[in-house]
Amino acid sequence: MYCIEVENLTKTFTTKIKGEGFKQSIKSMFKPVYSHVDAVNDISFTVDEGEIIAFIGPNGAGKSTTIKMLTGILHPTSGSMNVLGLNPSDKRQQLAKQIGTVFGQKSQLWFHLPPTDSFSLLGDIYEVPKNEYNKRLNYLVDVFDIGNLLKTPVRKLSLGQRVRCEIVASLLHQPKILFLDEPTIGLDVVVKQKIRELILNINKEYGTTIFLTSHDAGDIEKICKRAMVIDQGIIVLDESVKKLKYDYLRRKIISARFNEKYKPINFPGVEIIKAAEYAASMHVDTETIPINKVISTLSEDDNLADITITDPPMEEIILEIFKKTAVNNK
Amino acid sequence: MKIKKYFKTFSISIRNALFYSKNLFGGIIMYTLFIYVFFRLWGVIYQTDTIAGYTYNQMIWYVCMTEIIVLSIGTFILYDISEEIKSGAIAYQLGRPYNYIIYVFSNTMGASFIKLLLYAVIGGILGTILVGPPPISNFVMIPWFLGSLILSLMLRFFMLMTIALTAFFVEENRPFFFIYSKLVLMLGTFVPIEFFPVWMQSILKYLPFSYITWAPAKIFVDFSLDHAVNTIIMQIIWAVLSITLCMGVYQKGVKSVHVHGG
Repeated sequence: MYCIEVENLTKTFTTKIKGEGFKQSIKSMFKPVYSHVDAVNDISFTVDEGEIIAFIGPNGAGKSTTIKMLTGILHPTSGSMNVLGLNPSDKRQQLAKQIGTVFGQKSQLWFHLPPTDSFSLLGDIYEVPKNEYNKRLNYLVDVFDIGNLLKTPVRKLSLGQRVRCEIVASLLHQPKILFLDEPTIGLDVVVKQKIRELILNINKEYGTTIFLTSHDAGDIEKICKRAMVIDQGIIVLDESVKKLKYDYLRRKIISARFNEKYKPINFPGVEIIKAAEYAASMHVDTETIPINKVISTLSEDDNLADITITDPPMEEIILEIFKKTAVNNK
Repeated sequence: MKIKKYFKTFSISIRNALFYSKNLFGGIIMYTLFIYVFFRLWGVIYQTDTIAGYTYNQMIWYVCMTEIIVLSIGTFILYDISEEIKSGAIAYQLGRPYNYIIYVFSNTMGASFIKLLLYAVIGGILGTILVGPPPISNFVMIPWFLGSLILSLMLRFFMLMTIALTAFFVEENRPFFFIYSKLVLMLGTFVPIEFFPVWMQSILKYLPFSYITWAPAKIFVDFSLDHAVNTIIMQIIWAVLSITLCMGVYQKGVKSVHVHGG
C-alpha cells in the first residue's frame, strides 16, 4: 500500500529580476523582467505505508517545497499527488487531521505557557475525543519521558526538551504520516540519539510513516531504510540506505598506530589523509586495491600496534553523490 | 466540537497575555497620559457649555471610551501577521485543520480582552476623578453599548487583518496601515464626527472608519434609541463587508504564499 504517490510533480516560482544599480531598479518598476525557477522539477516517487524515508539535499534543493506541496500548503504548477488517498491541494483541511509536521526551526508551542496547555489546545484543534486524547498523551509522555516538563513554561525548557515536546505535539492526533523537517537541528549528540530512538519507536509501535528531511547524515544512517537525494529540484538518487552505503562505501578509512617508525605506504588507490611519526590514517579504494593487501602490508614488520577500519561517514557519501551528479549535469 | 477549538484558543490566549504583565503596566501609563492630555486640552477649548452638542463631561468620557477601543486591539496583529507572511512562517500555521482567520481572531480577542477590562477599569476611575461620574441617563443604553462595542472590535480586527494580509501581495504594507490609523484617529477617536461640517458628516456616516470608535462612544455618552439602531445597522453592514473582504484577500493570498521563503 502506497501512502504517498507523486507523479511528475513540478513547482515553478516566478520572481522579478532586478538589475544592479538605481537605473535598473527604476527600469524594473516599469518593465519588470521575470525569471522562472523550477524549485521542484518533474519528480515522481512513492512511499510505502510504515516506511521511514529520508529526503536529503543541500539548501534550496527543493526539500521544503516538496513537503509544503505534500501537506497542501503550496499548490503544484503541474503533476499529480496522492497522499493517503487525498489530493493535498484540494483537501488540505481533511488531510491535515491525518498528518503531523515538526519543523525543527519553528515552534508550535505557546512560549509562555507550559506544554500541557498547547497540547490540550492542539487536541481540540484536531478534534481528538477527550478520552482518546488522555490515553494518547499518557502514552507519549511516557515514551518521550516528558512527565516532569509538562508544567514548566516552554520558555524555560532546554532545546532538547522542547524538541521532544514539539514531536509529542505533532503526534497527539495519531497522524498516519509524520513530516519531520530537520528535527535534530542544533541538538547535541546524546539528545540527537535519543530523538532518533523515539522516532523509531513510534514508527514500530503505530506503523507511522516517517518522512524526514535532514542535513545530519547520522539521522539518515540511524533511522532510515531508504533515502532520496534531491538536488536542484531533481531526484538524483532513490536507494535503500544499505545500498547507498554499499555503493558509495567502497572507500574505507584505515587508521593505524605503530610501535616504531613505519615505512611509507605507497599504493595506487591509497590516499593518506593524516600522517604522523607513529600513526597514519588513509582512504582506501577497495576496487583498486583489496583491503587485506593494505592491512598485510601495514602489519608486515610486526610493527603494527593498533588498527581501525571504518566506513566513511554519511556526510562524505552525500558529498560524493552531489559531486557525481554535478559532473553528470555538466 | 468545531467551535470549541476557537474558544480554547481564546482562553489560552488570555492566559498567555497575562505573562506580559509589564506590557500591561506600560499600557496603563500610556492610557493615563493620553487621557490627561485630552483633559487639559479640552479644558482650554471649552469656553461654552457645549460644543457640537457635547458637554465637557461627555467629551472627556467620550475620549476615555475611544482610547479603550484603540489601545485594546493594538497594532500588534498587523506586525505579527505581516512578519509571518513575509518570513514564510505562515506556511506552518496553514497546515492545521482550522480556519486560519477565525483562529487569529480568537487569539487576538483573547489578548485584547484582558486589555479591554484593564483599560475599562482605569478609564472608569480616571473619568470619575477628572470630571465626575459618567453621563448615563438611561440604563437601556447598556445592551446597545455592549453590542456596538463588540461590533466595533470586530470591525477593527477585520480591517487590520485585511491590511496585514496584503503582505501576500506587496512587500511593504505599512503605508496602508498608516492611512487607516490616521483616518480612525481623526474621524472619531480625537473628536466626535459631530465636530465636522454637516456635509462631511453625511459622508462619514457611510464610511467604516467612524464606526470603530465614534459609534460605541457616542452611544455611551449620549444615548438615543434612534441613533443606536442606525449605528448598529451600519456597523453590522461594515462588519460583514470587512469579513468578506478579509476572507477574500486571504483566499487569494494563500495561493501565492510561495512568494516568500519557499
